[in-house]
Amino acid sequence: MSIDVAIVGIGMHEFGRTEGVSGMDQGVIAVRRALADAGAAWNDMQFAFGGSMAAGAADTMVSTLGLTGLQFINVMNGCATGGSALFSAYNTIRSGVFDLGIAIGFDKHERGAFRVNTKGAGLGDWYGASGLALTTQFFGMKINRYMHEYGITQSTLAKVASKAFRNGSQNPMAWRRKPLSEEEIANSPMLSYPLTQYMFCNPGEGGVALILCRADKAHLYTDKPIYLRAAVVRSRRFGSFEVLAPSIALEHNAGPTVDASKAAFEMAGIGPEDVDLAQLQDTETGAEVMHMAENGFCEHGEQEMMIQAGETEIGGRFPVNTDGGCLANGEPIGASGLRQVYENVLQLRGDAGARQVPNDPRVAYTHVYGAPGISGVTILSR
Amino acid sequence: MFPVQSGCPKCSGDTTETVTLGRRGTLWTWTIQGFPPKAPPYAGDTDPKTFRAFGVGYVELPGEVKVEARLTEADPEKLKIGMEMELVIVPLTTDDNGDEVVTFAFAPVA
Repeated sequence: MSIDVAIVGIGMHEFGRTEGVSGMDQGVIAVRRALADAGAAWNDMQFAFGGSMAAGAADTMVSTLGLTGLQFINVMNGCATGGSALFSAYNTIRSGVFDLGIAIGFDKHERGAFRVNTKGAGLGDWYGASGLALTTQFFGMKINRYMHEYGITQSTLAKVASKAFRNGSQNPMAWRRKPLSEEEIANSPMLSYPLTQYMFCNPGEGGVALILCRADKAHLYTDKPIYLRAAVVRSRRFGSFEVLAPSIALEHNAGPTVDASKAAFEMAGIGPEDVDLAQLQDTETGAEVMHMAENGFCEHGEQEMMIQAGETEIGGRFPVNTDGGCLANGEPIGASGLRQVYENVLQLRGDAGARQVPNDPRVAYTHVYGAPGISGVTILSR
Repeated sequence: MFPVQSGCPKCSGDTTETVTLGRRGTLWTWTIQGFPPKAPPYAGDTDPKTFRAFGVGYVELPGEVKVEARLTEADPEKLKIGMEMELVIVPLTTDDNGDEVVTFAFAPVA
């Protein structure tokens, strides 16, 4: 029997733009807030997994937090960096190696769309030079094809963004806290057809830390332990349609999100119908729509009715991205997946304040997706 | 696969051979690049005053592969999934020696 794992402390540095504070220092602040939340000290931590994409090697933060000699392993795994740190921490406790440790993610990106390092991604320089290799293009092309196949409308794409900014306005940690109407969103500049400026999230800054503990010792740190029932990361298979792909095979594969989701539900021993709320990767509004189906929460095309009927609102049948998602929080890559888990812990504790999902939610789900075709899923329960 | 690579992503085999792809196919999906890409890596025009939006899409070459490419058409009204497309060579920029640099693109078949 493997050991059950609980999240006993959570900490976050505000997402957005914080001038004069490095990405690493935002990670340090998140760690200190997580320690305070658990009532633990840095020298209680037996191990750490941490990472960022663009803000330095996480293990160097021990020089600020304290040189305690703990096992600190850096994680860099693209958009699944935070998810991979959490996966590693989860399995370290589950296997009985350590009892108490921390997963950390932070980042700080330059303004504007991500500048892709094509060589670092195993692709030739010609790819970026010729005007391809923009992640925004992939998102435009994936949802354009999806709308053609499944009848999703432009109005639904605007509604998703409008919900995100409305939820973000209730979240003091969010970057974009001003509600925007569907008209403002639909009429903003067209960046990558059919997606407008306000349908996209922005690269940003922020940090999140989560303290994990073997479940039988969780009471030492919290009276509201939240149990991690599954943590899964999957890469792409032949035939899937992914970001940064100069070609796609003719044969079709549903992609890493479908694989990660199935594996996570199997690990947790539950199904999509048991989930009360979800944080789904919303790099742009089309991604949230498609990821609802890819994660098993509805049939392809059913999102049109669900979103138009308000079912994914905080008070709806199946709330999605209750903290405003990437759209309202921005995307500091190393921290983004852990931000979703932070929100779900708040929701399951009943501590989400103005954006609390009603009726005491018991099970919550997170999903990240990103370059170069990687997905990470977690399932949490009270 | 496009471009050529040394290993096969389907079977993990390490022997691949180079084949010439067809020049015609159908548009599988598309978007319009509406803002200047960052330079580097982009080698084309990044001046917001003169930048012209360009199409990007995947063209399905029958029996072969779907290839990502620039499109010569940038009007959403004139691009339709499933339409016939043909390979063309288009100018991209001029290098430091004053030589024209070209790239590949697909154009709607008239």
